[in-house]
Amino acid sequence: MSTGPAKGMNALKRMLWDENPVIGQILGICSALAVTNLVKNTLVMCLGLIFTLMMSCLTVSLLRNVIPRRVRMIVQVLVIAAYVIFIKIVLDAYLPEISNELGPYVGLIITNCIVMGRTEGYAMGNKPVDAVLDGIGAGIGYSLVLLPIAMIREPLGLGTFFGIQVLPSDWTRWNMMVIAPSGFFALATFIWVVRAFKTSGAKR
Amino acid sequence: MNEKIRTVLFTLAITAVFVFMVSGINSLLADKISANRTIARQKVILKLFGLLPADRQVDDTAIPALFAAETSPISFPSQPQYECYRPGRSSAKLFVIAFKGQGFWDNISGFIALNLDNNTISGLEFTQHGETPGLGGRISEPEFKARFAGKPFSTVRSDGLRLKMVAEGSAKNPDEVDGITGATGTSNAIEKIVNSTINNFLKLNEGGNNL
Repeated sequence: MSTGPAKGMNALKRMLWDENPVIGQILGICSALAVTNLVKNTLVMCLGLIFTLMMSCLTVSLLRNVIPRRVRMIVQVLVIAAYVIFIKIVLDAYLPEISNELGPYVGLIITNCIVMGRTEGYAMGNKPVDAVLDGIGAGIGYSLVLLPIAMIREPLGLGTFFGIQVLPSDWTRWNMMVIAPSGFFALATFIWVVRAFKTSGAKR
Repeated sequence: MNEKIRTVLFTLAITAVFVFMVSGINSLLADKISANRTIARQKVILKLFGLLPADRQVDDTAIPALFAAETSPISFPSQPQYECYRPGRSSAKLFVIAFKGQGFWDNISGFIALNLDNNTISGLEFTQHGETPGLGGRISEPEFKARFAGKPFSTVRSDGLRLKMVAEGSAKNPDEVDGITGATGTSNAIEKIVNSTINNFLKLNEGGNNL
């Protein structure tokens, strides 16, 4: 790993694999557990997070030289919350059904540690272009973990994929897969497998 | 400038900017959001009157007009908050009644359709619930809601209920409805809500004398 913060496209790429926020830093776990029982909800959640990360990182990076050190965290939360409320309002207006299904989880993007982590850890000290790429990268990195988990949980738990029946109707549903505990198992197994793969690659 | 004063001013200024932004977007879209909520409710009521079959595609924008033409609200002076509708164009004794009650986790609200011509339930829909996904959450699946269709409610059982939720797959008598395995709390809550909604409506209606 090179010294100093990654710049340009590197800021984006490293978030997908090397420094993936979920696999590497175990951040954003609560939402990963909560929404991954339906692929559609997961997709909306991921898009919401990518948007929030991108906009928050941009705003915080633009303001980085004028934000007083003492209140920087308060300002970051303010910025993040404003964008998340924006998403919630837009979803309510244009995708009311999905908004209804996601319930409180859209609002909980505010407390997703990835967003705060990227704004405090990267956007506060880097140029807007790099910060935006870093934010988008972290969002995509998060999606790369959530979507596969959702794609496993939804068919096994409900027999559907994206709301469409894919398994035969006499399929015995694994109720376990839809409720939160299976999120723990699925996520932990996923991280375990990916990390084992990563370390074996590093040794070689 | 004094650092402390600068900090306070900056915080106030940025808060004002974002508050202004968020409330601006909110007021721009507030009408659309409340219209969406109304349409969602009206769709449920129309569906219970059998006016929105699956093969009939109605655009969301046409829902309010359809609702106004096809339903007529009923009010009871003793309970001004009571929400109840009957068909606007036929004299069928079909009533769609709003209900709300405590579920296992959160309030459960929705509408029930009662047919007083033959004293059976003709349908049930939930507009809001917070039951466990995959367990109690199954109440919002069409298969569960269909369990109530055609159930008679005119007779009261020896245990005081009109309809009893029983173990899944064991409903044999007309006054029994299959509950959900693994969601006894939700099943009991639904039993209570459905029975009290029917009781309350029959009491208000006083055997049809009021309508």
